[in-house]
Amino acid sequence: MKETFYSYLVQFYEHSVFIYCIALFTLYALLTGMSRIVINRNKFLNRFRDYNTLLTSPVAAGISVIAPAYNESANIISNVRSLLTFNYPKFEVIVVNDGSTDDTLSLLIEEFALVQTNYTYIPTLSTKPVRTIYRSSKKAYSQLIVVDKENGGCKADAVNAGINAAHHPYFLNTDVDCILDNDTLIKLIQPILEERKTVIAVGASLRISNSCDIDDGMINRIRPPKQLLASFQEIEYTRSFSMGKLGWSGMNAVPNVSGALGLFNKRIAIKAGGYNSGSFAEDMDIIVRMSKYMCDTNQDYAIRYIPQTLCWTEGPTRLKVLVRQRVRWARGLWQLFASHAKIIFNPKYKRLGMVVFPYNLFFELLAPIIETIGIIYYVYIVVTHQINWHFAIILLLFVYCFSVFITVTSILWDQLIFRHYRSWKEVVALAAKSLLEPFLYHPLLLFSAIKGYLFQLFGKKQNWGDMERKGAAKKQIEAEAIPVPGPNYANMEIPVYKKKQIHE
Amino acid sequence: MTQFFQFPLFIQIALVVIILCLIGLMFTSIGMASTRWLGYKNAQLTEKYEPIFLKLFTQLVFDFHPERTAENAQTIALAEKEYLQSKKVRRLLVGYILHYKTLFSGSVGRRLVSLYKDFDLQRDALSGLKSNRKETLVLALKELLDMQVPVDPLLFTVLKKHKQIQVREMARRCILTLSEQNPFQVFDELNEPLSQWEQLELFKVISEMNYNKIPKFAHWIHDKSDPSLISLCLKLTVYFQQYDSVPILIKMLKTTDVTLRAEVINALGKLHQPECEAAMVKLYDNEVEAVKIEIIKALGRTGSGDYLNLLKSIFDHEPSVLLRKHAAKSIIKHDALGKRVYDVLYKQGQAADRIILDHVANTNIKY
Repeated sequence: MKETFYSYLVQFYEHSVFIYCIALFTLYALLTGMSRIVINRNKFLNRFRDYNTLLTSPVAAGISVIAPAYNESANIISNVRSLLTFNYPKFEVIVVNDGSTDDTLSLLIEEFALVQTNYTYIPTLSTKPVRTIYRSSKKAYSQLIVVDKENGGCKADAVNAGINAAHHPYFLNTDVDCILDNDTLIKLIQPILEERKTVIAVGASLRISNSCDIDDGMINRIRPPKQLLASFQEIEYTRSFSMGKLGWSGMNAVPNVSGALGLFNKRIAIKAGGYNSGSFAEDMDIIVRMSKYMCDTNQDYAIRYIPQTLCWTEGPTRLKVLVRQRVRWARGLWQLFASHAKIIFNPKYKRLGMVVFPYNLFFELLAPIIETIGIIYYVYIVVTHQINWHFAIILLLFVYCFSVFITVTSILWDQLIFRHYRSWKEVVALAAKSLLEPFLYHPLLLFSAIKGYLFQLFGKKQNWGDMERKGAAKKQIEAEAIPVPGPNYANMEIPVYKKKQIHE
Repeated sequence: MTQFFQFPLFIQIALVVIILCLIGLMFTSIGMASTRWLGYKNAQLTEKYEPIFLKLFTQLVFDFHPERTAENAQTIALAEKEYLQSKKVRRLLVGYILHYKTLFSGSVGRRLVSLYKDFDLQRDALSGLKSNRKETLVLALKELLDMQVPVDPLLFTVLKKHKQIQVREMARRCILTLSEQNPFQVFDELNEPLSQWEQLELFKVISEMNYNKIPKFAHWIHDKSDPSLISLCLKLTVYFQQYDSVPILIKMLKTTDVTLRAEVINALGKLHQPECEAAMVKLYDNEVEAVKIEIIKALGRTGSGDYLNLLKSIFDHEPSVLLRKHAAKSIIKHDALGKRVYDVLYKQGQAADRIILDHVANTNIKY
């Protein structure tokens, strides 16, 4: 009797996991198809839309570019210069100096001839106190505003201060250490102008800049990363953006817009309460709250992704740093479900409640747990000689082949949009690395996710860690002999679920 | 095969998925290789013809001498014979012409258009008009529009009712650009909202065209029009400074659409007509903040001085910093009239008030 019950249980478990896999694969296949539709549509629109119309229009919507900076002295000047060169008729750049302990602020003051200005700062969103607002005394930098505030311990607090200082109806949230394409604003505003419903946020693809040739905040030559760890991140980003996010965009069910690059409707973001300083995944959190606000107020809305890569960021090259980053993301996901549990399967929240949240629950939050249990079970049946090796190998191949297929297809999709990499060898090398990814990179992500969940479960405080900038920063350090910068945002202590402490 | 059917179902499914993935991988790899190959071939084609085209543009566009008729005709005939037989090369040349057309206006722009017509390059676009694919159709229309090639007006009548939105949009642009008789009829027949992008494009087309007669855009500013069309017409009314539309705009202040009301007030302000101030001020107390801001801004733009006391009172008593800031800005916009009020406010003001007053007086700060 006991034996029968056990075998039924095992059978039930095995079948459930298999059905789970099939459901996940079907969803990925669907996203793959959908992303292709989105890419084709975008390519078509780009061919017949004349961007000069927008560039020369006196009635274009204004955009505030918000770039928080904490101890960014190595890159700050070139990156702010790069932000000031956007091709767009109406924009302002708001650099929020989040209590840097290095010479970030003094460099900005010197380079852009900044002077303290009596400025009407309206603290609609609560943040750490703002000390001073600087404007340039030179007309050439009249779009630049520097907000100097006390350190808020996280990016969210600094972005909120930037939103308070912003004047335009849309704001671009980016990191001052990211390298952005000159046409970023003109490309990101496109879905907002195109749609007949309110587009509350727009995102674009991000890539790893580690091996790119960078000069004075501009990318001269795009190359896939040479380091293995950074290469895996490039593959992951390609898959996530060219396939996942675009596919979701086609279904109007985008789960999040990256914190490194996103254009938002300011009014809706403020109505939703701005960024949450207590969240480890503030980018995902704000999208959920903005969507929730739209559903609560019965307004039709959309969140879109465009296929173009507009932002390059430096990926961690050390295991420790990468794990720390991913642990933070995992905790953020957990936090999201803890604070918005009511949304799931709630028809009031339409796609957010019926698609985005269930997907995030079953295939993002629970996936590492299901996978870990699977590995433990696998080891157990190997040790107890219960394993059918033929079937086991077939099932492993089943998962492996699908994973490689999806990754290679996403690299192709990317090739369809841009031929970023000049040589075919670079494309083949990247595709070949996808063969190794399931063995080397995926276990690392799994470990980080489980670690993040455990940290979150036991309320462990987490250091945001040093994100170490090497590429562009290093070049500039060598050239200008600036001392190596101190820690990044990443060094900030963020207490879990102690939002009040941060705001106090 | 018999063995396959003896496996449990989940193993059968797994095997099928593995085979499908391998086939998919093969196709993906072929796709990737062919994409690169096509890209490489296109780059080669461009590399080959770029110098030839540049030479052609130099002779027939940038350094054009009309007196060298025979020489120019010979170049055209030679080009036709040697390489323009190939559709790929023709499309490449059209790409260059369209690109240069966005960079140059005036005589160079006109020469580019005549070069396009001299080579009869419109043949591909004209055949594209018969296509059922929306991409081909829209791109053909755009090309003909950019190159000012006349098209049968009957075609636009059909296309403006096309099932694809992009085709309808392009047809409307074509009518407004190419149609000689009553181009603005498209506004009368409009039965769908215009996207913001289309509004931008139509604004550009209308503001840059040399129409025989500019209509009174207030004709479409009424309750029955779509808000997007009203929004466009408001911008056009301001652009063409149609002051006689003010009474119609004042009537429109009764609209229940808050966004639209704010836009109407914005337009009234930009028309600088003092007679509309009273109607706007009457609304002030019961409005939402966005509309209040527009009223305050409009009073500043009009700058009659009749409502300086109201602006001062808003600065003194409104709890909203944003409204106070705009009130101060509008006071400053009254120039000499406002200077006295500004000085009084500055003298009487506390530190927080002075921050606002300094902000609005700083010419380096636009907003």
